[in-house]
Amino acid sequence: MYKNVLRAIEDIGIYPSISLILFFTFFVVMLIYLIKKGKHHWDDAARLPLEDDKMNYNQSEQ
Amino acid sequence: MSSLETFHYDNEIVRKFGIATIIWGLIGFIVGLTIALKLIYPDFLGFIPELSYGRLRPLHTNAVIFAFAGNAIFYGVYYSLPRLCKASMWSEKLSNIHFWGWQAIIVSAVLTLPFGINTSKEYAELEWPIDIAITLIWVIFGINMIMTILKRREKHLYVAIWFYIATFITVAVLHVVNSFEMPATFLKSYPIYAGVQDALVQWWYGHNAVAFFLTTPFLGIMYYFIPKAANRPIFSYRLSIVHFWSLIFIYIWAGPHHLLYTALPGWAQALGTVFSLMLIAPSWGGMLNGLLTLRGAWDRVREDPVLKFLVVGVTAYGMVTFEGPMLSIANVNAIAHYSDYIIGHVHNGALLWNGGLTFAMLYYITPKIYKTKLYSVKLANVHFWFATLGAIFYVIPMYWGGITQSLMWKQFTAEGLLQYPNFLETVTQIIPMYALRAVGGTLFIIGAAIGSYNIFKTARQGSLEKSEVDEAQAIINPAEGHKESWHRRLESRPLQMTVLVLVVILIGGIVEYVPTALVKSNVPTIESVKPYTPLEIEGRDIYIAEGCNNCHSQMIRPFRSETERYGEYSKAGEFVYDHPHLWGSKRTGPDLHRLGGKYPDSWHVRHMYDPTSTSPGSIMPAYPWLFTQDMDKESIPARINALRSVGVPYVEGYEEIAIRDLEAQAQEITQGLKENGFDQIEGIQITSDKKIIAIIAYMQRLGVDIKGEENPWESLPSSDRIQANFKPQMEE
Repeated sequence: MYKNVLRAIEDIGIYPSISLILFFTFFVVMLIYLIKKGKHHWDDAARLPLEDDKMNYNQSEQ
Repeated sequence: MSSLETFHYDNEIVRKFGIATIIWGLIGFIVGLTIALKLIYPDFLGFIPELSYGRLRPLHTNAVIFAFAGNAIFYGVYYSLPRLCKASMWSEKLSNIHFWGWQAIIVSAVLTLPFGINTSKEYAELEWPIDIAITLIWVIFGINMIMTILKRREKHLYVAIWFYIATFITVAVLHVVNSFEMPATFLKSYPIYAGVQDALVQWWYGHNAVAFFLTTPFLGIMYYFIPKAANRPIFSYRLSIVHFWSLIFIYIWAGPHHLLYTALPGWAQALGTVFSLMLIAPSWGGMLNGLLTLRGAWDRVREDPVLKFLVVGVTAYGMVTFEGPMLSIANVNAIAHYSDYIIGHVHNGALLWNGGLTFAMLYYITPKIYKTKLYSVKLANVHFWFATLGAIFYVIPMYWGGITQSLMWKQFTAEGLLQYPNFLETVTQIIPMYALRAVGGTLFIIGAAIGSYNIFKTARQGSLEKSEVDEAQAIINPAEGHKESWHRRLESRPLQMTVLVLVVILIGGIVEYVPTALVKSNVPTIESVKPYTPLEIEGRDIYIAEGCNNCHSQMIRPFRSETERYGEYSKAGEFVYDHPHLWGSKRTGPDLHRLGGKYPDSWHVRHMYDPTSTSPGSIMPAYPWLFTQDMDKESIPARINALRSVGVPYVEGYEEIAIRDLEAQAQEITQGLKENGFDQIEGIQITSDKKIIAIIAYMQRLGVDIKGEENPWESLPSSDRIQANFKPQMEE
């Protein structure tokens, strides 16, 4: 049964450590990426809630 | 270049959710005040079963979380989502099914919880048919939301929407996993998990209900309404990206901090603590992001009630998310857990963070959709002060009382004896704090009533713009490959975003919970632990119905102060037949895990009939109806069947002879009472078919198995035949 399959995994205790490392890697990569992209990369996105009151809003077209 | 498209925002549905938020909020607060008063005056409202503390407390928590905060979430989502997507909600019909379905679920809670129909699992008390209804309505909400996002005219998904998506996905997963239960009758079920596993799943759910029902949707609301109210973009969009991903990843792991020092395996407790501590970083990042948005606009906070409520709300969020990680540190937890400190902690969050943001939205949206100005800024300011002072008067006495009581529990004399061996002494000590808390709650309710009046008058002076027109260009080609960075691309791909969110939250769930749930070595078996007898099953179900677990824990932690007071600390293997676990989370009364055999049956008779007769000054309610109401024998076979199918080893066919066992055991208890002069109490005959007999049987069984002294099944008729009742526990 599926329960026995899981029970048979050796050293299942190491899995939390692996996911912790995964998360930290993801986190660090994300930080580096955000810093590299610079502050103004998301300026238009940040203004989205403010623009929804205006009529004839033009989308950001690159 | 495509031409402009015209579409409508449905303000009617926003209005409906707003009204529901206010009405259910006021009801939820008043029920809260009622139970607060019952802790000061136990006989307040008399001893009516439907109005007893144990039955009303789940009603209060459910009303505030799912009715007040729940409707507030939908109020915010149905207002902000279409505006951020530049699109109407995908289906007005689904919006309305969602609205009425959700209200029907709340009504069904009102019609079940006070009548003793509940599962005992905190914030998941509703029984299985309602669980199914919640799933359906939640999915309808999700479909409507995702489809609106897919049909949007704004390519980019604003950060608020990510939080809404995470809310939908995670609450769905939590609710479904925590609700795996086996129906026994139409309104009674048993969870498939037992003991330690049930506790772990329950607190994975309970903790993340706070995370993904009371936090992430409100963060989405914060990210939309703070920039709106301050009329400036969020302080740092980059920070919001870090905030979002770290928060949803880390939150899901932190559940075990509700179970420190319990019978939960040590590695799971340690993991819970580590992730709880890490959680402070994204939480504070988010809080600062909200508050710093107001830089340069602080002068407006003085005048604008919307900003006032937002600022106090986000500040309270900061306090609560600092407290949370601190409370997860083992030595702090040792003092705060089971005490009223936690009640203070959650009300800091509920009253100011959820309440503050909700009232901010009501003050912001109502004038907008009614095309008018707020009826009275002055009244809104009065409300603000009532709410803030009310919360302070609530929270501080709870902190004070909680720590005082907890330290009294732990105080030893120089001779090494408990200084306050009588639990009651530690209760009467903090009753003044309970009184102050009721004052705080009253102030908060007065404020909310003033606020509701103000909102009502605002609506009356304006007229609802049912359908608001807007225009935008359609997205020409949503999949168009601009040279964009990966996160920006992700932000315009809702489905990928949704899947990624699901993956992120599942990692924590699977890695942490699956091993505990399935690895056998995590719950060592104890040979002398046996399933409950039929009468004890009935007694346990009455214990659940009356909500005894709202004030009494069944989990003795391995501290000297607890083993001295209650006895041997609790072991994981003792709970293998506990569907559901009844560890509890708060000790308004003492722990009951080793209650069995501590007092004679006659003591329980007197205590349940009038707690002050055995414990002068007790604030426990009396349970006179247990002496007049019949126990439910009819559904015993169905319940034994259900328990067998979730893993309790009753042999096939036992359900047919179970009634005989039940009656024999009930007779024995009644006979024993009679011999001790308790054939009646205050003129009420004590007969063997009354609920009191079942609950006595259950309470005398609590925590005795581990001693291995006597076999509770020995004297029952079914024991005459070998293999007639249950299979002894064996290692596979």
